[in-house]
Amino acid sequence: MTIRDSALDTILARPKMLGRKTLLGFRLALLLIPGALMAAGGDGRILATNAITTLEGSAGGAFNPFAIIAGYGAQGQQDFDFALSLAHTDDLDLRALAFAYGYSDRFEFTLARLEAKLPKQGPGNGPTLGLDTIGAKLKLFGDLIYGSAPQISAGVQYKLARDDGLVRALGASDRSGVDAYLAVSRLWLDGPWHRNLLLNATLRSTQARQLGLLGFAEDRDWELGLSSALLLNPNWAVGGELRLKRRLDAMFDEQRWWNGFIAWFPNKKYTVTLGYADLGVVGPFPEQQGIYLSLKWNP
Amino acid sequence: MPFPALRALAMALLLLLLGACANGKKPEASLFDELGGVDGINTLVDALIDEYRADQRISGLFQMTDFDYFKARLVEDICVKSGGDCEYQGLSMEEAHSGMNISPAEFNWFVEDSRNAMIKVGLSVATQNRMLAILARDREAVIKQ
Repeated sequence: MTIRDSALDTILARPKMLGRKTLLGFRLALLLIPGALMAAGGDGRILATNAITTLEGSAGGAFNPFAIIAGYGAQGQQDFDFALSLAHTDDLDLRALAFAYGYSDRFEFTLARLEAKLPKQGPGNGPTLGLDTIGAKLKLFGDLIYGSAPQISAGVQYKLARDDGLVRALGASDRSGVDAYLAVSRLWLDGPWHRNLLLNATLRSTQARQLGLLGFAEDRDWELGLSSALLLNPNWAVGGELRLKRRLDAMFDEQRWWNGFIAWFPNKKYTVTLGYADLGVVGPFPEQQGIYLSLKWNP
Repeated sequence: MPFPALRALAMALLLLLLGACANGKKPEASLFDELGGVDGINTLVDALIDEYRADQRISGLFQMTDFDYFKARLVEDICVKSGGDCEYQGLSMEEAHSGMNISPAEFNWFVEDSRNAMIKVGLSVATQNRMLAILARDREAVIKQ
Protein backbone atom coordinates (compact mmCIF):
# COMPACT_ATOMS: atom_id res chain seq x y z
CA MET A 1 0.00 0.00 0.00
CA THR A 2 1.51 3.34 -0.95
CA ILE A 3 1.98 6.23 1.46
CA ARG A 4 -0.63 8.10 -0.52
CA ASP A 5 -3.22 5.33 -0.14
CA SER A 6 -2.67 5.01 3.60
CA ALA A 7 -2.85 8.81 3.99
CA LEU A 8 -6.09 8.86 2.05
CA ASP A 9 -7.48 6.16 4.35
CA THR A 10 -6.40 8.15 7.42
CA ILE A 11 -8.07 11.33 6.22
CA LEU A 12 -11.31 9.72 5.13
CA ALA A 13 -11.63 7.64 8.31
CA ARG A 14 -11.11 10.67 10.56
CA PRO A 15 -14.28 11.64 12.46
CA LYS A 16 -15.38 15.25 12.26
CA MET A 17 -13.75 17.32 14.97
CA LEU A 18 -16.08 19.11 17.32
CA GLY A 19 -15.50 21.56 20.14
CA ARG A 20 -11.87 22.46 19.47
CA LYS A 21 -10.24 25.00 21.72
CA THR A 22 -10.20 28.42 20.18
CA LEU A 23 -6.85 29.95 19.56
CA LEU A 24 -5.61 32.55 22.02
CA GLY A 25 -5.36 34.95 19.13
CA PHE A 26 -9.08 34.75 18.47
CA ARG A 27 -9.84 35.60 22.11
CA LEU A 28 -7.46 38.51 21.68
CA ALA A 29 -9.44 39.58 18.64
CA LEU A 30 -12.57 39.91 20.74
CA LEU A 31 -10.69 42.48 22.80
CA LEU A 32 -9.04 44.28 19.91
CA ILE A 33 -11.89 44.49 17.44
CA PRO A 34 -14.20 46.85 19.42
CA GLY A 35 -11.28 49.25 19.90
CA ALA A 36 -10.42 49.14 16.24
CA LEU A 37 -14.07 49.64 15.31
CA MET A 38 -14.32 52.81 17.30
CA ALA A 39 -11.18 54.42 15.89
CA ALA A 40 -11.15 53.29 12.31
CA GLY A 41 -12.81 53.99 8.97
CA GLY A 42 -10.14 55.96 7.10
CA ASP A 43 -10.73 56.23 3.35
CA GLY A 44 -7.69 58.24 2.30
CA ARG A 45 -6.38 55.73 -0.21
CA ILE A 46 -7.35 55.29 -3.85
CA LEU A 47 -10.15 52.85 -4.74
CA ALA A 48 -8.94 49.27 -5.31
CA THR A 49 -5.61 49.85 -3.54
CA ASN A 50 -6.83 47.83 -0.56
CA ALA A 51 -6.22 44.72 -2.71
CA ILE A 52 -8.04 41.51 -1.81
CA THR A 53 -7.25 39.01 0.96
CA THR A 54 -5.04 35.92 0.93
CA LEU A 55 -6.25 32.62 2.28
CA GLU A 56 -4.11 33.37 5.36
CA GLY A 57 -5.77 36.75 5.86
CA SER A 58 -3.12 39.18 4.65
CA ALA A 59 -3.80 42.01 2.25
CA GLY A 60 -2.73 40.83 -1.19
CA GLY A 61 -4.05 38.53 -3.87
CA ALA A 62 -5.74 35.24 -3.10
CA PHE A 63 -2.38 33.49 -2.70
CA ASN A 64 0.37 36.08 -2.24
CA PRO A 65 0.56 38.81 0.40
CA PHE A 66 1.33 42.21 -1.11
CA ALA A 67 3.34 45.11 0.29
CA ILE A 68 -0.05 46.87 0.55
CA ILE A 69 -1.40 47.56 4.06
CA ALA A 70 -4.95 46.29 4.64
CA GLY A 71 -7.89 48.65 4.43
CA TYR A 72 -8.19 52.11 2.90
CA GLY A 73 -6.49 54.03 5.68
CA ALA A 74 -3.85 56.52 4.65
CA GLN A 75 -1.06 57.87 6.83
CA GLY A 76 -2.61 59.10 10.05
CA GLN A 77 -5.73 56.96 9.61
CA GLN A 78 -6.85 53.48 10.64
CA ASP A 79 -9.11 51.02 8.88
CA PHE A 80 -10.28 47.43 9.12
CA ASP A 81 -12.23 44.95 7.02
CA PHE A 82 -13.61 41.43 6.93
CA ALA A 83 -13.20 38.96 4.11
CA LEU A 84 -14.89 35.70 3.28
CA SER A 85 -13.28 33.44 0.67
CA LEU A 86 -14.72 30.28 -0.81
CA ALA A 87 -13.09 27.88 -3.23
CA HIS A 88 -14.35 24.63 -4.68
CA THR A 89 -11.92 22.30 -6.37
CA ASP A 90 -12.30 18.70 -7.46
CA ASP A 91 -12.00 17.20 -3.98
CA LEU A 92 -11.72 20.16 -1.65
CA ASP A 93 -14.07 22.81 -0.32
CA LEU A 94 -12.11 25.73 1.05
CA ARG A 95 -13.56 28.43 3.24
CA ALA A 96 -11.66 31.27 4.87
CA LEU A 97 -12.79 34.08 7.14
CA ALA A 98 -10.42 36.95 7.87
CA PHE A 99 -10.25 40.15 9.85
CA ALA A 100 -7.68 42.75 8.84
CA TYR A 101 -6.64 45.97 10.56
CA GLY A 102 -4.45 48.63 9.01
CA TYR A 103 -2.75 51.45 10.93
CA SER A 104 -1.53 54.64 9.25
CA ASP A 105 -0.74 52.88 5.96
CA ARG A 106 2.23 51.46 7.83
CA PHE A 107 1.26 48.46 9.95
CA GLU A 108 -1.18 45.59 9.34
CA PHE A 109 -2.56 43.01 11.76
CA THR A 110 -4.68 40.11 10.53
CA LEU A 111 -6.52 37.06 11.83
CA ALA A 112 -7.82 34.28 9.64
CA ARG A 113 -9.39 30.89 9.90
CA LEU A 114 -9.08 28.65 6.85
CA GLU A 115 -10.85 25.33 6.52
CA ALA A 116 -10.50 22.70 3.82
CA LYS A 117 -13.32 20.19 3.85
CA LEU A 118 -12.29 16.83 2.51
CA PRO A 119 -14.57 14.40 0.72
CA LYS A 120 -16.82 12.27 2.84
CA GLN A 121 -16.79 8.54 2.77
CA GLY A 122 -19.82 6.84 4.27
CA PRO A 123 -22.30 8.60 6.55
CA GLY A 124 -21.59 11.97 8.13
CA ASN A 125 -19.33 14.77 6.98
CA GLY A 126 -15.79 14.42 5.75
CA PRO A 127 -12.95 15.58 7.96
CA THR A 128 -11.73 19.18 7.88
CA LEU A 129 -8.21 20.49 7.68
CA GLY A 130 -8.14 23.74 9.64
CA LEU A 131 -5.50 26.46 9.68
CA ASP A 132 -5.50 29.56 11.90
CA THR A 133 -3.19 32.42 11.06
CA ILE A 134 -2.16 35.54 12.96
CA GLY A 135 -0.37 37.97 10.65
CA ALA A 136 1.57 41.18 11.03
CA LYS A 137 3.05 43.33 8.27
CA LEU A 138 5.16 46.47 8.33
CA LYS A 139 5.72 48.84 5.43
CA LEU A 140 9.45 49.46 5.30
CA PHE A 141 9.74 52.17 2.64
CA GLY A 142 8.57 53.40 -0.74
CA ASP A 143 5.04 53.91 -1.95
CA LEU A 144 2.59 51.90 -4.00
CA ILE A 145 1.84 54.72 -6.45
CA TYR A 146 3.94 57.80 -5.84
CA GLY A 147 7.60 58.68 -5.86
CA SER A 148 10.41 56.66 -7.37
CA ALA A 149 10.62 53.72 -4.94
CA PRO A 150 8.08 50.88 -4.98
CA GLN A 151 6.41 49.87 -1.72
CA ILE A 152 8.33 47.25 0.22
CA SER A 153 6.92 45.51 3.28
CA ALA A 154 8.01 42.71 5.59
CA GLY A 155 5.51 40.35 7.15
CA VAL A 156 5.22 37.38 9.47
CA GLN A 157 2.45 34.84 9.83
CA TYR A 158 2.09 32.55 12.81
CA LYS A 159 0.13 29.54 11.65
CA LEU A 160 -1.51 26.76 13.63
CA ALA A 161 -3.05 23.62 12.15
CA ARG A 162 -6.10 22.87 14.24
CA ASP A 163 -5.99 19.09 14.08
CA ASP A 164 -2.60 17.98 15.37
CA GLY A 165 -3.16 14.26 14.93
CA LEU A 166 -4.48 14.59 11.43
CA VAL A 167 -1.59 16.64 10.03
CA ARG A 168 0.97 14.39 11.70
CA ALA A 169 -0.70 11.38 10.10
CA LEU A 170 -0.26 13.24 6.82
CA GLY A 171 3.46 13.54 7.38
CA ALA A 172 3.85 16.83 9.23
CA SER A 173 6.66 17.28 11.77
CA ASP A 174 4.82 20.05 13.55
CA ARG A 175 1.36 21.55 13.77
CA SER A 176 2.53 25.18 13.87
CA GLY A 177 5.04 27.35 12.12
CA VAL A 178 6.03 30.89 11.25
CA ASP A 179 6.19 32.25 7.71
CA ALA A 180 8.25 35.34 7.00
CA TYR A 181 8.09 37.29 3.76
CA LEU A 182 9.24 40.36 1.91
CA ALA A 183 6.88 41.85 -0.64
CA VAL A 184 7.41 44.52 -3.30
CA SER A 185 4.36 46.15 -4.88
CA ARG A 186 3.90 48.92 -7.41
CA LEU A 187 0.93 50.40 -9.20
CA TRP A 188 1.59 52.37 -12.39
CA LEU A 189 -1.19 54.88 -13.10
CA ASP A 190 -0.39 55.06 -16.82
CA GLY A 191 0.48 51.50 -17.74
CA PRO A 192 -0.28 49.25 -20.70
CA TRP A 193 -3.17 50.63 -22.77
CA HIS A 194 -3.06 53.61 -20.37
CA ARG A 195 -4.55 51.43 -17.63
CA ASN A 196 -3.44 51.17 -14.00
CA LEU A 197 -1.16 48.15 -13.64
CA LEU A 198 -0.27 46.53 -10.32
CA LEU A 199 2.67 44.16 -10.04
CA ASN A 200 3.81 42.36 -6.93
CA ALA A 201 6.58 39.98 -6.00
CA THR A 202 6.75 38.17 -2.68
CA LEU A 203 9.64 36.14 -1.34
CA ARG A 204 8.60 33.87 1.48
CA SER A 205 10.44 31.65 3.93
CA THR A 206 8.24 28.86 5.23
CA GLN A 207 8.02 25.39 6.71
CA ALA A 208 4.35 25.11 5.78
CA ARG A 209 3.06 22.23 3.70
CA GLN A 210 0.34 23.43 1.37
CA LEU A 211 0.00 26.77 3.15
CA GLY A 212 -0.01 24.92 6.50
CA LEU A 213 -3.14 22.89 5.81
CA LEU A 214 -1.00 19.76 5.95
CA GLY A 215 1.03 21.02 8.88
CA PHE A 216 4.69 21.97 8.88
CA ALA A 217 7.88 20.26 7.80
CA GLU A 218 11.28 20.11 9.49
CA ASP A 219 12.99 22.08 6.75
CA ARG A 220 12.45 25.74 6.00
CA ASP A 221 12.23 26.57 2.33
CA TRP A 222 11.71 29.47 -0.03
CA GLU A 223 8.65 30.34 -2.07
CA LEU A 224 8.23 33.00 -4.73
CA GLY A 225 4.89 34.65 -5.38
CA LEU A 226 4.15 36.79 -8.43
CA SER A 227 0.92 38.71 -8.89
CA SER A 228 -0.42 41.10 -11.45
CA ALA A 229 -3.63 43.06 -11.84
CA LEU A 230 -4.70 45.39 -14.63
CA LEU A 231 -7.42 47.90 -13.75
CA LEU A 232 -9.59 48.07 -16.86
CA ASN A 233 -11.21 51.09 -15.21
CA PRO A 234 -11.30 52.41 -11.62
CA ASN A 235 -13.77 49.71 -10.53
CA TRP A 236 -12.68 46.54 -12.36
CA ALA A 237 -9.45 44.57 -12.27
CA VAL A 238 -8.33 41.41 -14.01
CA GLY A 239 -5.25 39.59 -12.92
CA GLY A 240 -3.44 36.45 -12.05
CA GLU A 241 -1.06 35.00 -9.54
CA LEU A 242 1.62 32.38 -9.37
CA ARG A 243 3.02 30.71 -6.29
CA LEU A 244 6.23 28.86 -6.98
CA LYS A 245 7.30 26.46 -4.29
CA ARG A 246 9.66 23.61 -3.86
CA ARG A 247 9.00 20.20 -2.45
CA LEU A 248 9.46 20.12 1.29
CA ASP A 249 9.31 16.42 1.97
CA ALA A 250 9.07 13.05 0.31
CA MET A 251 5.51 12.23 1.35
CA PHE A 252 3.52 14.58 -0.87
CA ASP A 253 4.44 16.57 -3.91
CA GLU A 254 3.61 20.23 -3.84
CA GLN A 255 3.05 21.96 -7.12
CA ARG A 256 2.91 25.55 -8.17
CA TRP A 257 -0.38 27.29 -7.53
CA TRP A 258 -1.80 29.75 -9.98
CA ASN A 259 -5.04 31.67 -10.32
CA GLY A 260 -6.76 34.10 -12.63
CA PHE A 261 -9.36 36.50 -11.32
CA ILE A 262 -11.73 39.37 -11.95
CA ALA A 263 -12.26 41.80 -9.09
CA TRP A 264 -15.00 44.38 -8.75
CA PHE A 265 -14.56 47.44 -6.55
CA PRO A 266 -17.93 49.25 -6.67
CA ASN A 267 -16.94 51.52 -3.76
CA LYS A 268 -14.71 51.49 -0.69
CA LYS A 269 -17.21 49.35 1.23
CA TYR A 270 -17.20 46.18 -0.83
CA THR A 271 -14.88 44.14 -2.98
CA VAL A 272 -16.05 41.08 -4.94
CA THR A 273 -13.58 38.72 -6.58
CA LEU A 274 -14.28 35.77 -8.84
CA GLY A 275 -11.48 33.53 -9.97
CA TYR A 276 -10.24 30.21 -11.17
CA ALA A 277 -7.54 28.46 -9.19
CA ASP A 278 -5.25 25.55 -9.88
CA LEU A 279 -3.62 24.11 -6.77
CA GLY A 280 -2.17 21.04 -8.46
CA VAL A 281 -1.81 17.99 -6.26
CA VAL A 282 -2.79 18.66 -2.64
CA GLY A 283 -1.74 15.89 -0.29
CA PRO A 284 -3.14 12.67 -1.67
CA PHE A 285 -5.66 14.49 -3.87
CA PRO A 286 -4.79 14.98 -7.54
CA GLU A 287 -5.41 17.98 -9.79
CA GLN A 288 -7.28 20.43 -7.58
CA GLN A 289 -8.74 23.06 -9.87
CA GLY A 290 -11.86 25.10 -9.47
CA ILE A 291 -13.72 28.28 -8.78
CA TYR A 292 -12.82 30.90 -6.20
CA LEU A 293 -15.09 33.61 -4.80
CA SER A 294 -14.15 36.28 -2.29
CA LEU A 295 -16.22 39.00 -0.64
CA LYS A 296 -14.67 41.80 1.35
CA TRP A 297 -16.65 44.12 3.55
CA ASN A 298 -15.23 47.39 4.85
CA PRO A 299 -17.74 48.77 7.38
CA MET B 1 0.98 20.26 -15.07
CA PRO B 2 3.76 22.82 -14.73
CA PHE B 3 4.52 23.74 -18.33
CA PRO B 4 1.06 24.77 -19.58
CA ALA B 5 0.74 27.14 -16.62
CA LEU B 6 4.08 28.75 -17.30
CA ARG B 7 3.36 28.89 -21.01
CA ALA B 8 0.06 30.65 -20.32
CA LEU B 9 1.78 33.13 -18.02
CA ALA B 10 4.49 33.80 -20.59
CA MET B 11 1.84 34.41 -23.25
CA ALA B 12 -0.03 36.80 -20.97
CA LEU B 13 3.13 38.75 -20.18
CA LEU B 14 4.05 38.87 -23.86
CA LEU B 15 0.63 40.26 -24.77
CA LEU B 16 0.96 42.81 -22.00
CA LEU B 17 4.35 43.93 -23.25
CA LEU B 18 3.13 44.06 -26.85
CA GLY B 19 0.23 46.20 -25.71
CA ALA B 20 2.63 48.49 -23.91
CA CYS B 21 4.91 48.75 -26.93
CA ALA B 22 1.97 49.31 -29.25
CA ASN B 23 1.08 52.49 -27.36
CA GLY B 24 4.46 53.94 -28.21
CA LYS B 25 4.54 52.94 -31.87
CA LYS B 26 1.16 53.76 -33.33
CA PRO B 27 0.34 57.43 -33.84
CA GLU B 28 -1.50 58.43 -30.70
CA ALA B 29 -3.34 61.65 -30.00
CA SER B 30 -1.47 63.94 -27.65
CA LEU B 31 -3.00 64.35 -24.23
CA PHE B 32 -3.65 68.01 -25.07
CA ASP B 33 -5.79 66.94 -28.03
CA GLU B 34 -7.52 64.22 -26.02
CA LEU B 35 -8.51 66.88 -23.47
CA GLY B 36 -10.03 68.98 -26.27
CA GLY B 37 -7.42 71.68 -26.51
CA VAL B 38 -7.72 74.90 -24.52
CA ASP B 39 -11.53 74.91 -24.78
CA GLY B 40 -11.74 71.38 -23.47
CA ILE B 41 -9.33 72.18 -20.65
CA ASN B 42 -11.44 75.20 -19.70
CA THR B 43 -14.50 72.96 -19.43
CA LEU B 44 -12.50 70.38 -17.49
CA VAL B 45 -11.17 72.92 -14.99
CA ASP B 46 -14.71 74.21 -14.33
CA ALA B 47 -15.70 70.62 -13.52
CA LEU B 48 -12.59 70.08 -11.38
CA ILE B 49 -13.24 73.19 -9.30
CA ASP B 50 -16.87 72.12 -8.80
CA GLU B 51 -15.69 68.73 -7.47
CA TYR B 52 -13.07 70.19 -5.11
CA ARG B 53 -15.49 72.72 -3.66
CA ALA B 54 -18.23 70.11 -3.20
CA ASP B 55 -15.93 67.66 -1.39
CA GLN B 56 -16.14 68.55 2.29
CA ARG B 57 -12.97 66.60 3.03
CA ILE B 58 -10.83 69.03 1.03
CA SER B 59 -13.00 72.11 0.40
CA GLY B 60 -11.50 73.70 3.51
CA LEU B 61 -8.13 73.86 1.74
CA PHE B 62 -9.68 76.33 -0.74
CA GLN B 63 -10.96 78.81 1.86
CA MET B 64 -8.48 81.52 0.85
CA THR B 65 -8.57 80.75 -2.87
CA ASP B 66 -9.31 83.36 -5.51
CA PHE B 67 -11.13 81.07 -7.90
CA ASP B 68 -10.72 83.25 -10.99
CA TYR B 69 -6.95 83.26 -10.45
CA PHE B 70 -6.97 79.56 -9.57
CA LYS B 71 -8.89 78.63 -12.71
CA ALA B 72 -6.59 80.64 -14.99
CA ARG B 73 -3.48 79.09 -13.48
CA LEU B 74 -4.90 75.55 -13.49
CA VAL B 75 -5.84 75.85 -17.18
CA GLU B 76 -2.30 77.03 -17.98
CA ASP B 77 -0.78 74.27 -15.85
CA ILE B 78 -2.79 71.46 -17.45
CA CYS B 79 -2.19 72.93 -20.92
CA VAL B 80 1.57 72.93 -20.42
CA LYS B 81 1.68 69.48 -18.80
CA SER B 82 -0.46 67.88 -21.53
CA GLY B 83 1.80 69.21 -24.26
CA GLY B 84 -0.11 72.34 -25.26
CA ASP B 85 1.40 75.68 -26.19
CA CYS B 86 0.70 77.72 -23.07
CA GLU B 87 2.74 79.57 -20.49
CA TYR B 88 2.25 78.85 -16.82
CA GLN B 89 2.31 82.15 -14.95
CA GLY B 90 1.75 80.93 -11.41
CA LEU B 91 3.84 80.00 -8.39
CA SER B 92 5.75 76.73 -8.22
CA MET B 93 3.75 73.80 -6.83
CA GLU B 94 5.73 73.98 -3.64
CA GLU B 95 5.18 77.72 -3.12
CA ALA B 96 1.51 77.50 -4.10
CA HIS B 97 0.79 74.89 -1.42
CA SER B 98 3.21 76.07 1.23
CA GLY B 99 1.83 76.10 4.76
CA MET B 100 -1.28 74.08 3.90
CA ASN B 101 0.16 70.89 5.36
CA ILE B 102 -1.73 68.74 2.87
CA SER B 103 -1.89 65.10 4.01
CA PRO B 104 -1.51 61.99 1.83
CA ALA B 105 -5.23 61.35 2.40
CA GLU B 106 -6.19 64.84 1.19
CA PHE B 107 -4.03 64.42 -1.90
CA ASN B 108 -5.73 61.12 -2.74
CA TRP B 109 -9.18 62.67 -2.26
CA PHE B 110 -8.09 65.42 -4.64
CA VAL B 111 -6.99 62.74 -7.14
CA GLU B 112 -10.33 60.93 -6.89
CA ASP B 113 -12.28 64.19 -7.21
CA SER B 114 -10.19 64.96 -10.30
CA ARG B 115 -11.12 61.59 -11.79
CA ASN B 116 -14.81 62.21 -11.06
CA ALA B 117 -14.62 65.56 -12.86
CA MET B 118 -12.95 63.92 -15.86
CA ILE B 119 -15.69 61.28 -15.96
CA LYS B 120 -18.34 64.02 -15.86
CA VAL B 121 -16.88 65.83 -18.87
CA GLY B 122 -16.73 62.53 -20.76
CA LEU B 123 -13.00 61.79 -20.93
CA SER B 124 -12.00 58.17 -21.58
CA VAL B 125 -10.40 55.96 -18.94
CA ALA B 126 -7.12 56.13 -20.86
CA THR B 127 -7.14 59.94 -20.86
CA GLN B 128 -8.10 60.00 -17.16
CA ASN B 129 -5.12 57.79 -16.29
CA ARG B 130 -2.72 59.80 -18.43
CA MET B 131 -3.88 62.96 -16.68
CA LEU B 132 -3.66 61.43 -13.19
CA ALA B 133 -0.16 60.11 -13.83
CA ILE B 134 0.90 63.68 -14.64
CA LEU B 135 -0.84 65.17 -11.59
CA ALA B 136 0.76 62.50 -9.40
CA ARG B 137 4.21 63.82 -10.23
CA ASP B 138 3.49 67.01 -8.28
CA ARG B 139 2.68 65.17 -5.08
CA GLU B 140 6.11 65.42 -3.48
CA ALA B 141 6.15 69.19 -3.92
CA VAL B 142 2.56 69.67 -2.78
CA ILE B 143 2.13 67.60 0.39
CA LYS B 144 3.28 67.91 3.99
CA GLN B 145 4.62 71.44 3.96
